[in-house]
Amino acid sequence: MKPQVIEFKVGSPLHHPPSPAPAPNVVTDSAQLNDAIMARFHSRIYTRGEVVLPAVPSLVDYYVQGLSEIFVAIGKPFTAEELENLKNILQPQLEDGFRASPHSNVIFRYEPSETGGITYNVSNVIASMTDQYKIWVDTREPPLFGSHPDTKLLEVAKSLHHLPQINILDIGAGTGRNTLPLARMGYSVDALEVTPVFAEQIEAAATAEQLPIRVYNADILGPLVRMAPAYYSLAVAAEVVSHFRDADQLRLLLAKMCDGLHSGGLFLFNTFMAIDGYEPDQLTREMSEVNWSTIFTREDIAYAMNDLPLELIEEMPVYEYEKVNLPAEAWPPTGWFDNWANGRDLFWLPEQKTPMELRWLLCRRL
Amino acid sequence: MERITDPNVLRQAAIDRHQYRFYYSGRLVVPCVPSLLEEYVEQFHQVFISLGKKFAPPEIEQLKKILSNSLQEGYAASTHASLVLEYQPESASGALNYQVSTVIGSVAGQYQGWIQEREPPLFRPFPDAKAIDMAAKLGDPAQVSILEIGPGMGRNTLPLGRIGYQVEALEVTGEFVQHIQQEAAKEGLRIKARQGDFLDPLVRFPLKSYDMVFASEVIPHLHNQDQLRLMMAKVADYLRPGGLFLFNTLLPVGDYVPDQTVRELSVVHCCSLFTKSEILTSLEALPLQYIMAESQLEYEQAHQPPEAWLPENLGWFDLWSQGGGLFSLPPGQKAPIELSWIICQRT
Repeated sequence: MKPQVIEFKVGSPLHHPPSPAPAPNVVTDSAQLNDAIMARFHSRIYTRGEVVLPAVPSLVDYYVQGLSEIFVAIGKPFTAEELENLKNILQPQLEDGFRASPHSNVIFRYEPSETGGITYNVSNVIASMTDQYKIWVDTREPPLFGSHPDTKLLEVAKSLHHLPQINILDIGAGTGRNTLPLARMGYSVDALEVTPVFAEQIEAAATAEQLPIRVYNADILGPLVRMAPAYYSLAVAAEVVSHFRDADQLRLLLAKMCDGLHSGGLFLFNTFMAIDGYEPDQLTREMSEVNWSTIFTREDIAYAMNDLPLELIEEMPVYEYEKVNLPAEAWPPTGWFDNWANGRDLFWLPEQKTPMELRWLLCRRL
Repeated sequence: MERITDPNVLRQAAIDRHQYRFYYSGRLVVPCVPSLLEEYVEQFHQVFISLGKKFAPPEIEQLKKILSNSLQEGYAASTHASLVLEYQPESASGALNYQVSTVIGSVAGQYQGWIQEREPPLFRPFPDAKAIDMAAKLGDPAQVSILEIGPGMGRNTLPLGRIGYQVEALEVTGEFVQHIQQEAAKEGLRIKARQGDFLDPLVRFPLKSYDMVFASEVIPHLHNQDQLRLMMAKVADYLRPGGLFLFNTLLPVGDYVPDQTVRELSVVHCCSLFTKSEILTSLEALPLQYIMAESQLEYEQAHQPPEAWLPENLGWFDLWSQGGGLFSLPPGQKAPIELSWIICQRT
């Protein structure tokens, strides 16, 4: 039997009218359409966030570029005009923050706006060196600056043994790494320390051991902070000048030493110096301050010493000198000392040498 | 209970009650002299009593504590510090509210006040004979270089410049510096005047460069012995070996050693007192040697022209030079201090 083929006819055969030619502005390309979907959809993605930027004025363009990449990534790209506007807002905040302290940050906060874009605001947070060290005290294991006194300092102190009475001034005494050993050796030491917790620690140790130490919680650069005039045989400022802002502050320190030292008295300090022939640019100078490694050139030092009754009598790299002379168990003084003293907190060159180093400078008061 | 009807008693009682409606406010300003704490507390309390606001003993203690801190802070900060106490009624209760603050002035500020308030001349018109005579011993004026600290309006600077000396003058008061600069320029004198405080760490001069350093009526502005020693140390820096430091000071006579109160008052009144032995201590271990002291008034009377001693030419100097800026003594009584020229030499 032949199967019966039944044709079902439903209505008229399918009628395919010719497709109208696509209008030139109708998009059918799926990749393009997907982009279009996302472009519309971005207004539904709400992004908020905070970017903390160290206040370095020279980095303003770098920061604007970085932020603009964030805006692209979150689908809210800024126009050239908006970026220019951002720069104009960011710049004074970076400058104000940096002027107040190299430890300041600028905070960039953004959040969704009513219209699907973002709104942002920029502010700065000023933090002082004292604030920074307070954090060290709260979060790090002592000794914060090492357990041994600087060997160069002990050598210089010994060179004064012909004097009947040796009064020593320790500027930026920290936790007393130099103050306490010097006092134990019999010198009378005045310790100046700006961070209150450190000053209290020295005071407590001095009292407990009945050492000839007077502690002053003060900033050597403060206008009302004056030393007994023509009184000290030796003043030391170890790891202090690396916190300074400029050569004017160094000059003020040296001038005050001229007032406090008696004729023939010695001033030992260490500072980062650019190697001869290397001239740090503005960005490098700002970044050196931010990284606790303020860099000075030979011209800066000469400016700071100009016309003062002070002569530079000796100079050497701190790292090499202390490495040779400190007992083996005391080396390195801290986990950070090697990188810091060799300029690597500023320039990350792990295999090469940076164009700066921490140096001891020894001066004599005329 | 007795009922009062006597109109006189009632009148007074009504007035007494009425006192609560009296509101006083005002300010009391005194120089910061820590030694005078007790006196100030007593005087202030007398003012409050006169306003009908007697303090209870704990309130007096509280006032004393506040004044003590402010007086010490102010005095430490400046020789020209004032304590200001402002009082006003607390609303409704009628009790007295007060606040204490300090106003820190300066020597330059004091002279700016003089410029605004006083009739010129602010200083006497004649130069010190001692300055002219000492300079004359230094040799050919064309070869002699003088550093003058605190020249004022150039009473000595300009005459020294006219003789031909090269004079560098450091003065805290800006207007005075400009005056000296203008006069020197007009006459073509070899005078360089600049503004600054000699004790400022950043104020420095070339080392071993001057034949004479001269400071007239400057030591009486110093705050304490540390400042005196600092001044000596810096002078020693700038003098050539053999060079002279000529200055004047109100020198206590004989065995007189001023007590703490008189010292603080002397500082506040620009009459700072240093004994001879304190001056010698300030020179200890410095390359600066004490040579001699003599009465300034005797020397100047003998060597200045007589018209320099006319009252109109002496002005405030007449009283001040005899210690009258510090002590109020009846006529005919002399203060135990003598304005003296002192000479030191750079070794």
